[in-house]
Amino acid sequence: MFDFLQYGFIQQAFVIGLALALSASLLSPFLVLNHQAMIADGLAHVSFAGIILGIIFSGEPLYIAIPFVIAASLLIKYISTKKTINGDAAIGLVSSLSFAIGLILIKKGQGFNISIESLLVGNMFTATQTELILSISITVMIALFILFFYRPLLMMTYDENYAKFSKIKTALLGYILAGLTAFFIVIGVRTIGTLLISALVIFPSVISSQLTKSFKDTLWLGIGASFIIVILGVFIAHPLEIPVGSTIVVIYSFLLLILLLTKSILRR
Amino acid sequence: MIDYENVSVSFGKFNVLHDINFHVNQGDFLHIIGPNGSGKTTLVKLLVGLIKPTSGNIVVKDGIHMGYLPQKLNTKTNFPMTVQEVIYSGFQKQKLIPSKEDLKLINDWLDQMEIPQLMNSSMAYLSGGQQQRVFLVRALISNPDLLILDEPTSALDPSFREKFYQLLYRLQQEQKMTIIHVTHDLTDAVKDDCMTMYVDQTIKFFGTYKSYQEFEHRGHHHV
Repeated sequence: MFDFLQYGFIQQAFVIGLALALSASLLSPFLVLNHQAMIADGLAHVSFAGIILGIIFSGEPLYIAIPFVIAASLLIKYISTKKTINGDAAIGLVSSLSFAIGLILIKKGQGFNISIESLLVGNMFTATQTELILSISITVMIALFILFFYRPLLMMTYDENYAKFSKIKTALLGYILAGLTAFFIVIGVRTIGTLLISALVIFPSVISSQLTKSFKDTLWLGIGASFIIVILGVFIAHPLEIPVGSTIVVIYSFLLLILLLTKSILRR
Repeated sequence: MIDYENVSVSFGKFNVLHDINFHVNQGDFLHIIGPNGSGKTTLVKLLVGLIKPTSGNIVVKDGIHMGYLPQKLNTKTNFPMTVQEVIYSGFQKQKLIPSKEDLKLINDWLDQMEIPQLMNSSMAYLSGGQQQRVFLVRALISNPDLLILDEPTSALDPSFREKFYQLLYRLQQEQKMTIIHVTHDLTDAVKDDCMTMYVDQTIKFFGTYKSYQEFEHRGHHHV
């Protein structure tokens, strides 16, 4: 049953999967518990346009897509600091505009052989070496950022006003967090897909916070859970010839459902 | 230690504070009172830097370390956060992992606040009064030079409220801590020689509590 592990492309899929699982679960509590879960979803839509632009204008789409999406994430962050537009509306505005641009570009760029399906669901098994290197790089960057700024980030997530009072540069940290999230999302869209990548960010802390009392444990349990689920996802998806991303989301949902049911039974 | 110089704050056309001038010395215990919507909270938010004045200046002596208890306590339910994690965010120097001494200090404060053994409890499961005590410890644990409390006792029961004010007076006397206290209920907080400010958009009264009683007796703030 483990025969398929000898193939290079499967090993590569594992490394990318685990790197993305680690990045996503490290970002997860800082976004989800701060009511910013939808920023991941919005940026995935932006990536859709970014990658199409990249395909049209460059041999390696990520070189255009990554700066494009980072710029969009900073724009979302900036708009949401203005009191006239709410954060969730800002995400909706920027992401639907990008998606619209992406669809227009596909129509006009038909000579470039762009597959909408591959953009929507992604493919881990066809990842390139560049994607492998970039997914490891973004994981290292996110891990270092959270290691060095864990306490300020925690304060900012839990109680932003108190963090400001404590002279923490909440705006700067927020922009860096948004930029790193954007970088992660672009890589994730290529492998997990536009429609599913946000699940990788949202599920870990939604699931782990059902079981934990502390922020620290929520972070660790989220990392553990996402590792196990990504590995399970690859093992189940490959023999059944179904998309890995979708499999991961279905397993996550099952796990959450079981947890919620168990909790409600225990509470009776 | 603190100077407000011609400070005004307006949100759009709405004037919250107008031409505020006062001075606080080190070791003062200042009570700020006033009706709802009078600008009391805005007055202290200016001091902790959460709001910028529309005009005027607030001058605070250099190198002052502040402790702050906000009026609106964080009530994010479903946020996994232990008492220890909340209090540790009040430390001036925070490490990735708190040291044994830091944890002992937190424990001692929890004892003093009569909520022992709550160190590793989830904030979400505490009562309003217990949460308020945790946030008080967060404000006090770094031993600030200036302590700013915005309605600190709203969720506390009367017997503990009294003990809490005794603790504040002890900190003021023994450590020369400067305390600014916003409240709508002075009765169990005040001593005759405390400074008292009655604010309602402007400062209507500023002086000792003893003289404030005469001011109140004349019914000035009901006009």
